[in-house]
Amino acid sequence: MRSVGIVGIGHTKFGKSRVSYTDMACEAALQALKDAGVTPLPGHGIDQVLLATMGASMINHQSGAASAIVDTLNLRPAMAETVENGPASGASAIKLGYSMIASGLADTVLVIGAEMMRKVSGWEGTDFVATMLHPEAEYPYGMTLPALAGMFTRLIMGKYGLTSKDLALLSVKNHSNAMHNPCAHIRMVPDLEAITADEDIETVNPLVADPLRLYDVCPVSDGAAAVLLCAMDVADRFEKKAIRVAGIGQATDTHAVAEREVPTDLLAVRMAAQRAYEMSGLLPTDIDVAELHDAFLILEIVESEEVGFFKRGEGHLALREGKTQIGGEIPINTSGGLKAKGHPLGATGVSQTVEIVRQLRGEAEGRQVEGARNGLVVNFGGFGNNVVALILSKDA
Amino acid sequence: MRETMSETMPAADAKCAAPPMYAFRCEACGEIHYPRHYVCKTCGSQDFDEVVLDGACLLETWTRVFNLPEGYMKPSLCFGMVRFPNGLVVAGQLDVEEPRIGMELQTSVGVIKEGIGQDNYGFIFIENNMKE
Repeated sequence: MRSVGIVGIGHTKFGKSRVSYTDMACEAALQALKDAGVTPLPGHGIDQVLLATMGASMINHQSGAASAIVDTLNLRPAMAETVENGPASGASAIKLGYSMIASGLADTVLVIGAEMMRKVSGWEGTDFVATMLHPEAEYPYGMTLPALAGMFTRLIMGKYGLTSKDLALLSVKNHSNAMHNPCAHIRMVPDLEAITADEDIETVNPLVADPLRLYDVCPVSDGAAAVLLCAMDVADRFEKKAIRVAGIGQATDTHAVAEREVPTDLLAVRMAAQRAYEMSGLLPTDIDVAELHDAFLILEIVESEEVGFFKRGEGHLALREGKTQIGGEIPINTSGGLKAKGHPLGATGVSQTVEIVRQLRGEAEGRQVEGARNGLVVNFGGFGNNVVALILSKDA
Repeated sequence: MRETMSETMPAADAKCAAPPMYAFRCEACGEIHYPRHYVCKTCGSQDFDEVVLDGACLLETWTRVFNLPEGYMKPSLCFGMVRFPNGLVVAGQLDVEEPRIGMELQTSVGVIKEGIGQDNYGFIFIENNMKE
């Protein structure tokens, strides 16, 4: 099997986009091509384009969007497909691109993740995201992802002693990291006192899904990110040194969250990470920086345990001790995470990967983890029913 | 074959004339599933009985959500996961003033979303007023 690396990255400013869906996706793609030194003219050498999106069809009324983007980018006759795996679409598309190169079907694959969610009202957007819940046991009840996260958080609080103050502390950490990321959606740091003070909390930090409050959940964002994958045996065609995709793991769990044997576990995260570690030959202690899927802050805590950084029930203790901040034992979500950088669903896994590539190249200005050699991405689909983990390595 | 899951439990409070909710019991090994699976989680059999899912249950966790999807004309909705005496855990709406983990609830079936021409029915867990 051929080794695969990343030689180009692109990332739009997340937030509310003023351009069309296609324009936004193309902006990220062109950045990635430029970063790799590729000119989109005949002979460009791009064999395949994969577009990761959850809602281009439903929200933007644009089906077969990958075909439109290939043409707009002048990358014909490259092969093109759209990949949909909920919020894990991005890392899934990277996995599929990896597989194509490893198998010999392609030498180069451009993966673009793009989502434009701010086109519709909050009600419509909430309904769109909720369509990934179980179609009989969850969705018809009006349940949403925040509803599942709220119930999950209450269980974790009861079992391990995590508090609302811990979540607020985590919110401040990730927002602080986002201050150094020009692509982040929200570049402001909430005041810890203000978002936890009892007397005015319902105004400053209202409940979204009890016990989760506004500053415990990610914003709704538009955005796009792109990576150019290539076979390591052709990587010298490109301007940037390749960052190797060292490990990939994926696992699924029950679709209905209530069916899980241990309701406080994220089994698919654990299994996906274990598979990625096995493939890479690395251990959790070898990871220098991680982007974990913190659509709800509780997920960063529990994922940090499931991927082996901390013992079960001790993720929040590590946070309190500063182990997950930049300069700590294992910095998590240096980009600001989904919490502050934003979470355009289909773009997220690609965006997380872009951040790890920046870290391993030493290009994460203002938020650089010194000497980072190996990085982990966890991209979480549904409420943990389909999870993809990637390990990237600076070492060839 | 249909039977009630909790024959020793008090019958559900008749909140409305709603269709019953069913769990699915594997005919081969007896494993009870909710929601429906086409293949038994335990033994791989594909034959199931329907079992009415009703009676008392215990609240495992809950939330109140303030940003609802399109089609719910309410400022907030409460949701919970409950455990039935046989160990089955299911999620549904919660119509309880002050939810507490571990409290005993009663299963009812009611309108969980109003529709044009056809309402959607499902679990609404309510306070157990029949308790001694």
